[in-house]
Amino acid sequence: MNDSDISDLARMLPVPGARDFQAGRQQTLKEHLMTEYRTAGDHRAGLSPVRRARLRPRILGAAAAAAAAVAVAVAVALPASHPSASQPASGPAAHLAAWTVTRQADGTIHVSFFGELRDPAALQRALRADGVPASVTFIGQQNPACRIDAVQQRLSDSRARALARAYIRSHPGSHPNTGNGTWLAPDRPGDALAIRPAALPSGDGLQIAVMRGIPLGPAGPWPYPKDSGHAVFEVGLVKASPRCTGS
Amino acid sequence: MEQSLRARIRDGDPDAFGMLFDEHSRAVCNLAFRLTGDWPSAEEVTSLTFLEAWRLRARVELTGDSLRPWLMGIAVNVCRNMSRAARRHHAAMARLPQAPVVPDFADELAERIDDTAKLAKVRVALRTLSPGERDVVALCVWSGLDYAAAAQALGIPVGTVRSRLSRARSKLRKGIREPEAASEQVEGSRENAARQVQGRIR
Repeated sequence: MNDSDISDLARMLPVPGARDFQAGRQQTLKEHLMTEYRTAGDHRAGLSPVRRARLRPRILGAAAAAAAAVAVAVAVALPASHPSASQPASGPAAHLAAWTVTRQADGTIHVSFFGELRDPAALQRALRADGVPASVTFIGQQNPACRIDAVQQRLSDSRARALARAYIRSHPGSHPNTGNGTWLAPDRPGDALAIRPAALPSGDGLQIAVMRGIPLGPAGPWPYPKDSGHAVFEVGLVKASPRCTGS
Repeated sequence: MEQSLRARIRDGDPDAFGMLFDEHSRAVCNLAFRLTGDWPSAEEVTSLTFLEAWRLRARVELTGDSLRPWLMGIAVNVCRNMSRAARRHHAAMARLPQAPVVPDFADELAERIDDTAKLAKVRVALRTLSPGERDVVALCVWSGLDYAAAAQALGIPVGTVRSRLSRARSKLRKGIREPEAASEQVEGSRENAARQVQGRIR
């Protein structure tokens, strides 16, 4: 063995020392994998790994499509301006995916979740239909057409808090993907975003990013202890444009 | 003990995979961090590596020492062709919760920027190497695998590991201008010392 090759290469390629996972992240990654392993092992024990790999996306695709259909159905079936109707039956169907967008008497738009958000595009359509110039995506997949300028980065914490208010706890912080200055976590299961379109500064829209894979609302287990500092939503101001917010 | 763990891995025992994750995920993630240059991608590589390990578990031999070389070999392959692995495990990855966003503390942030800058420099140097050379550098220099373990991880003869390392060294020497080499040496000296100690332990 030629150790001088190794030590020379180490000297020529100086890398940072070993780093650790963020608190709790290793456990999250592990739990995700364990669920995947168990699902694969439980349901398709008779199939070869290759066959399993081919089957899974199709089966899950169908499940996701069904869930999205539930979301749309719930959103459409509930009358607007009727927040009390937005409490679904506490059956398993409600857990799949559901959200409602309701307009309050004072013009505030409430978004409530009763399960996991699976189709941000549908929520985006519903918000736009209710007059909110909005871009809705999963966290980390924000629309690149949405621009947040430097001044807004600094201001967005207070401004977005004013816009997306009610039932929301706001944490100052920054988001590495967007430079967006605000991230928000609802205080209680079932709590929602509340948006006042009239309070949006002229020419601005809202960028809403939701954490993927998290059951939201009373039908699902609340994902994180309230003070753990996990972001469930990120809400920020963006320049409204056809490609970003639809108008 | 290790042998029965290997048998359980081959049988697709989720708990055995859990133990594997506990023991090796940090090393896998740090290797991926050095190869990809950013931590979120490194976490993604880590998840993909363990999903690939599950898919490829039938290839684990019943006898042998630590499974770390096997995992590291999978990790360098995932880094080399991340889009293919991501496509293969698309559905599973879609269910992976996003990393939480935490407020940046100034000194932590500064340290991260330092790390990222250092890795960006290293990645420029790595571009002069072939993918095969980069893999052996990652395994032998950064992950502390010996030549035999690296050969096993990559499925190549030990002689090839040696020759790739030697070629990598010559190429990098040629590529580094003297003043830059001197300043990099100062910057990296403390970590190099630590790494050389690790190297001797193995």
